[in-house]
Amino acid sequence: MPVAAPVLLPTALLALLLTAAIPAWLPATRPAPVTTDLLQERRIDLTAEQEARAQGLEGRLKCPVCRTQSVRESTSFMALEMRRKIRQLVAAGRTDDEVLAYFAARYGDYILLEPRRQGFGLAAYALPFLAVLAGLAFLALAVRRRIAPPDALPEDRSARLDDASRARVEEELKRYTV
Amino acid sequence: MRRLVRLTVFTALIALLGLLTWGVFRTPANLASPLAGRPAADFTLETFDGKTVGLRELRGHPVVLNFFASWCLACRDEALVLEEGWQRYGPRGAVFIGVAVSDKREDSLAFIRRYGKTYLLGPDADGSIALDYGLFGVPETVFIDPDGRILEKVIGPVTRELVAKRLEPYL
Repeated sequence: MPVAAPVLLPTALLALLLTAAIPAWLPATRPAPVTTDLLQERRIDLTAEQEARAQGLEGRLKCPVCRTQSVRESTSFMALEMRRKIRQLVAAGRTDDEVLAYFAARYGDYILLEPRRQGFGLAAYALPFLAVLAGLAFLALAVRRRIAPPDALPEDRSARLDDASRARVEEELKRYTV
Repeated sequence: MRRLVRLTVFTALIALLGLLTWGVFRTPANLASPLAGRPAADFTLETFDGKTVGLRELRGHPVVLNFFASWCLACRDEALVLEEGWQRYGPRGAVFIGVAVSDKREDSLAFIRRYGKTYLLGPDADGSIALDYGLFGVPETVFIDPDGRILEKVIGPVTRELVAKRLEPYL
């Protein structure tokens, strides 16, 4: 039995919204950083914890040259300089927020891969959930509409039958009533 | 009622699509730099011919700070514009500084010779100048007023008209 359009359309819409929201839910998977001579030459020695923090910060900043990549992934000259600067700041005892603020002060929030959790940036976090909720609400309404019992015929509808038709209906009902 | 719901959903989807499209086409070139209006970060540059210049020493002069590289095609487009600007406005008190970014010394020097550049030019040895000025790439030019405040940061090659517009009020 084919699925009726009132269910198919909201289901498709919900699937589309869920698919669009998936990237926001996936854990960030980043390839291993590319080591270059430049980075090695001016290497700043960090503790294991500091190095982990630095690598995490690299993944939270956008490469200003290759803008579809993080600083961690990119091999551009600016990404290398930023990785060195991140290590410098971490070694100097700056917090993660201070390091991110350092770059945001120079590049604007554009350089942050994760929008700020304030102001307009909140929309990036709220929209996927709102989209899913809207899709679920839409689907629930559509399903409820589909399975709702038909309304009883109003009295005046049966009054539309003429006498001959009404008599015939009653005769048929008598014949088939158990 | 159903029509209202459909209209609301449709409008919301269009708004979402518009927002996503805006995000995709947002580039640094059409974003306001957070540096405009702020004090220019001080730096010391050792020029290719051995001089040392600090930005702080240039207070009282409008400064054109240009980031370039020999491998940058767009830098060639503006090379003559900057040299002409230096020749025209240098005698009137403007200072032009060229900072070579991610470039081999010999390549930078060849580039300088090729375009006959005569203003202050030197390498950004540790990348700190580029970072302090929020460099996205090359060429980029920062116009600094005589009080040391950033007037504008331009991404891409500059034009004669823009150089005149930024320097004339201070000369």
